[in-house]
Amino acid sequence: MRAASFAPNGAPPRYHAEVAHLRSLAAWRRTETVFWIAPVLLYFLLPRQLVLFSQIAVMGLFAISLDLILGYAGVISLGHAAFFGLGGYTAGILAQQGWGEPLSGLALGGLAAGVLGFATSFLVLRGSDLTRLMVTLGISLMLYELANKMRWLTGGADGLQGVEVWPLLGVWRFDLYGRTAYCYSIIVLFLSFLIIRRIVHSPFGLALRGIRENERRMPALGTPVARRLVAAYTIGAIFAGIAGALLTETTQFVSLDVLSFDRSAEALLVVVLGGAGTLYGGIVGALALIVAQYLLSGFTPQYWQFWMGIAFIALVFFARGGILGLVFRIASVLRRIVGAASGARGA
Amino acid sequence: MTATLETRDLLMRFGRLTVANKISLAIERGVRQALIGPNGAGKTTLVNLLTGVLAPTGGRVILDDVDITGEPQHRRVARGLVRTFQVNQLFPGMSPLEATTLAIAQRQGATRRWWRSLASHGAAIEEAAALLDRLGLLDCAHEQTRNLPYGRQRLLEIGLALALEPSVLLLDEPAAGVPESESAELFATLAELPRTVTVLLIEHDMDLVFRFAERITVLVGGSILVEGSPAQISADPRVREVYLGEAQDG
Repeated sequence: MRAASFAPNGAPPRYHAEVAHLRSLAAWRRTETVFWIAPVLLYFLLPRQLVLFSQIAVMGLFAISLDLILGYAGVISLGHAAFFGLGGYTAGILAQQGWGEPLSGLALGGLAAGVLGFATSFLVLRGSDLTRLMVTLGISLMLYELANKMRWLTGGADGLQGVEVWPLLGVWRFDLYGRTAYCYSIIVLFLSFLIIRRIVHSPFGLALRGIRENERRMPALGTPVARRLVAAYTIGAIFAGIAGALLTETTQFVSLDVLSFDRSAEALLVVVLGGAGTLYGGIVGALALIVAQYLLSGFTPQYWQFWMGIAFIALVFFARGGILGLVFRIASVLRRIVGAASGARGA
Repeated sequence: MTATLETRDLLMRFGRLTVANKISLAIERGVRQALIGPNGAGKTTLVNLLTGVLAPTGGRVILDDVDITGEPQHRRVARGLVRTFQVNQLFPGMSPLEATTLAIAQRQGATRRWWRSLASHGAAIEEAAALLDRLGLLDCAHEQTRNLPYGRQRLLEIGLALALEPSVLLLDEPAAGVPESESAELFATLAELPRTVTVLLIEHDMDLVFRFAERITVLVGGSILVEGSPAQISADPRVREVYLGEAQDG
């Protein structure tokens, strides 16, 4: 038997300010519109770098899928490449076997990764952070060796040869300059981003944050914690699979490195670099990492990793919350200065 | 007279240590009952058994004539059996409004929904704001919980439980760490709870217990020593002995 509601029933709606404030936290901002106009401009401004930017979009999507489970649900993973790679190989093998339709390849890549994510979530969600680290790592290593061993299917260490992806919607061929690949990557990234953004701003997303903030309290609020985490982990796996399939389709190639430990570690790095629990951090981190790699490897071809290492250490010590955390802090300082200046003028 | 929450021969052993020794307890609907006992009497263990944090070695837990012994925590909460924690279990990076909205959304079964924005759950947010207003927390509704003074965090701890509209509310030392001036305010809030809510209070402070409770259960060494009205308990020589004995030891 339940007690009656404590809230006055049928009373006229009050607390407009509070409702509006909570709503505003999830509202679409002008800076976001600007952010998404940038890739359109890039297409025209830097047409020679489209391949690089497609790579960033793929890595960004992969990082966002990890951010959902790490930054929101608080589940640490060192094996997210398992899903990325499975998605990539699914799309690749389909295209090699004669089904090169890109959109269905993308969907099936996501589906395959989602099934694996759901199946392994029950292992991953037991135990502490350390257990999770080891289990996720273990699963991805197993998958890597499996792909290595099954040469007849995956091409083993040589990679999958003969991936032929059909024109997008039967119209746009994947051209040598990477124009189609770029537009395709950006659109898939944007649509996936919109879905994930909706998820993190839903009641489900709020519950995930609750689990990250205090996993012990959540069952006492009535939340079936394991079920929420299984769902989050599965959704994260689906989008990682889509990112992997996207890489295969835009490069018409897939090799073992999509399943490698490096790939998982890189995603973790990108999320932390950009700012965990922000979604945009995944894209910003991917952009920063690939651009820095590009610039540094031109500058000091042999030792660029050394400088990257220093940058990462400096970042976690001096800019907690990643690049976006830093940006938000600078913006709030600027706003205060501007506010004080205009206040002084008004007086 | 019908019991809403009942235990039958509840037994809990950790190895050779018996922390709950065949506890049979019956709490009547709408009553304000207190559970007291010296340190190590097994009070928190009993709360953990009632709420499903621990699975008992033997015996049953019954809520409104339903055997819930094997049910997980969240299922019991859905049935209206709600607790607060002795040590705050809050969401440090969330605002009180977000946390309370989360509790209300959970009560309404909405945290399953990932396809609808929280912004479209205006009624839940409004209800959360109304609850915070009632607790005197509205002015800090948007602050991060970790920045709130302890007394307010303590109120929020109780607020999260109230947001779930409990039929049975287990309060595990709600006044722990709260200065005396603020604990009065806290108990005033609890005194306003409607009679549809049954309250089991676990508390050290005897003044608070005797002011608030209508029935008192004394737990010693994992078993019930005695149960009765405040007058009976304060007159009981065995209870005096336990508390005097503890005072002498300390």
